[in-house]
Amino acid sequence: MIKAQLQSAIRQFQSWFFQAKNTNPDNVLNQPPKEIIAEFAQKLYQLPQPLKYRTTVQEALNVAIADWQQNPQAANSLVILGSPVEAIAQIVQSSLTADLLGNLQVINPLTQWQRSTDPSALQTVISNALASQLKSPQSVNSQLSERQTLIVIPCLAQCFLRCIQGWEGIEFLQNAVIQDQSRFWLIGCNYWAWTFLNQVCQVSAYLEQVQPLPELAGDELQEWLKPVTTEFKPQEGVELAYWKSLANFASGLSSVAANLWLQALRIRAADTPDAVSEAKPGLIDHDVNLEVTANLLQTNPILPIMPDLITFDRYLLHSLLLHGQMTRPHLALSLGENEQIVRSRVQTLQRAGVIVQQQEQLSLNPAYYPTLKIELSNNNFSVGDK
Amino acid sequence: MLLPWLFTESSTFIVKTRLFAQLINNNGAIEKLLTDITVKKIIKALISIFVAYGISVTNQSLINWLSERVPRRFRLLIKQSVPFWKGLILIVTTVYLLNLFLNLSQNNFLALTGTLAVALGFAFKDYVSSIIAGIVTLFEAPYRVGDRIRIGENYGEVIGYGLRGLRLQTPDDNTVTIPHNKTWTDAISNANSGQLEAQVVTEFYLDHEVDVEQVIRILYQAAYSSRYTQLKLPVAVVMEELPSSTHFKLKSYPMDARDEFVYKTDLIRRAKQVFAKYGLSYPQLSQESPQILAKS
Repeated sequence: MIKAQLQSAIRQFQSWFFQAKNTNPDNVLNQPPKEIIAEFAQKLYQLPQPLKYRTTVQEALNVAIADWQQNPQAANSLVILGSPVEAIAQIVQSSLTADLLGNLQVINPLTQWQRSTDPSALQTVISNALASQLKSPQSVNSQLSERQTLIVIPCLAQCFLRCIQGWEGIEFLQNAVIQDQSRFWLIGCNYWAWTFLNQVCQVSAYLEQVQPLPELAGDELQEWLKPVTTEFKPQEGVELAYWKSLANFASGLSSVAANLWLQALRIRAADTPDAVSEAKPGLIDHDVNLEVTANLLQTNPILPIMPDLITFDRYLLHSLLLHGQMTRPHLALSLGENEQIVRSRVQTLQRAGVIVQQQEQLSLNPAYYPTLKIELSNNNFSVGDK
Repeated sequence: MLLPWLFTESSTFIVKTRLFAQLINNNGAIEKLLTDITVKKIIKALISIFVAYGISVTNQSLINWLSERVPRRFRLLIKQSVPFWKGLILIVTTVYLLNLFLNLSQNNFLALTGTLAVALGFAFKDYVSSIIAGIVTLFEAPYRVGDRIRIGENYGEVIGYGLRGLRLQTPDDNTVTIPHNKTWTDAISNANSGQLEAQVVTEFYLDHEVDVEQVIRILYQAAYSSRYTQLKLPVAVVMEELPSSTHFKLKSYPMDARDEFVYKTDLIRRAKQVFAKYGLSYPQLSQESPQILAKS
């Protein structure tokens, strides 16, 4: 804990130092135009999940399933744990390749799942999926050879809500796992939700096998981001240091690293689009974009400074990290607060860039995650730890 | 039966008379005790008092300001340093002033303390008692700045720690000043003892006919689902039968003791919503009920 705090303090200092350095008037660099940022964000979004994540899940699943198929007493579940800003559902899904699965029958009961306020909804969905997709009900003492079914719950954090009766679906799920050894359950979950569920319904007593996602090192991040970053040429000799620094700031989390990299893109004042288009009025938008992209600089990553938070903001952000992603009405329900009040604070945090919204789902901007985690921990919140 | 009383009273009288006699006999020593009082010294003394007061006030404001801005877990730690700094400033100033006006030799010191003891014993008995109690409580720490305590009828957060007494902020936002010497006679109930969390007991009265298991489950979930709850600390539900109702007590901890009342409100609101959903009824008060309640 002390080591983590120390590392965080060092990162904050480095962040502050780099910012101070960048404010030198002789060396001021501007943010690139929004269109360029959006273009790169899209490219980052389309990247496949980091190889190290996928291989970790695959190796753990391989071992766990082999054990379950050979040993009658072996655990019939595997939980993949990661940070709440990582796309755990996608990581789990993308790890399930045909080679790995072999003859296993895979059931995805929550393919179209949306978080519900009805505590019985999850039970109904899982029961229906199991009933409709299996030929015959399997007994508790089924033969080892019959162990051929894999049920995937990609994101456990989407299956509960912090309100009275909000985690009854989880209780149903953990009982289902224990009662029927003939099926293997692969479950993705974030640390914060896992910590919460452990405290309210002792979930780890039922789902005993846990595999945390690894931290990514500098060279692994470099490899992962290569399709997007090939056009940038950092100075000779400092390339490895750059990626090491990025991994350090991002605490080894891919989503945080991608966001920090994006936020650290800069362009010189003379190369801004206005200057370009004025100098070459004949260029069409696309050409301007190309020209701007060519002039982009990959500057040192820094952690963004958290805006001043009021007490309610901390509760709000804690709730958001607990559930990973959620709609505004669900957030209000989870906080036990009027939706009007929640909306106003969400607007403020969204304007500050701390919260992002995709369709109706709110989530934390991953770049703020390392700072926020320390902030909440310092304010006596229970944060998810490895 | 009166003899012991007479003996005690007469002994005290004899001791006091001797002390006065000694002081009168020691007039010479007292004359030497005081140094020459000059205008320069008076100005110095006034400046030192002014500076000490300024430092003390600034220090307190600074600490209060800082404690409200640092991460919550350092808040009490910083606030609790206020009495120490105040005491240090007071001691340094007093020593400086004594040194300025008095020749503090061994004899003089004894004479001075004797005189002070008599003077203070007669005139400022309660005041001195409070100051001594304040010093004792600094070490015993039955309460510190930031704690939530109950002394007699008064309950609230300790927001100030002075030479003579402490200042308590009540839930109604009143500030109550209580002399430290209450610690000699009154029981002090401290809810958090320097910790950020303090147990909150939320009480519910339901009809005898309710499903007790269901109520207990709802109350546990109300506590676990509240945003204020410190989940690292235990939650418990206890109950007892009263003539008029079944009495449930939900015991849990908020992350910050300051949230005590909003936390309680949140718990009651959450629980009542679900009680209404499942038709869990409250006790029906009949005409005889007030008497029954009074008995219970």
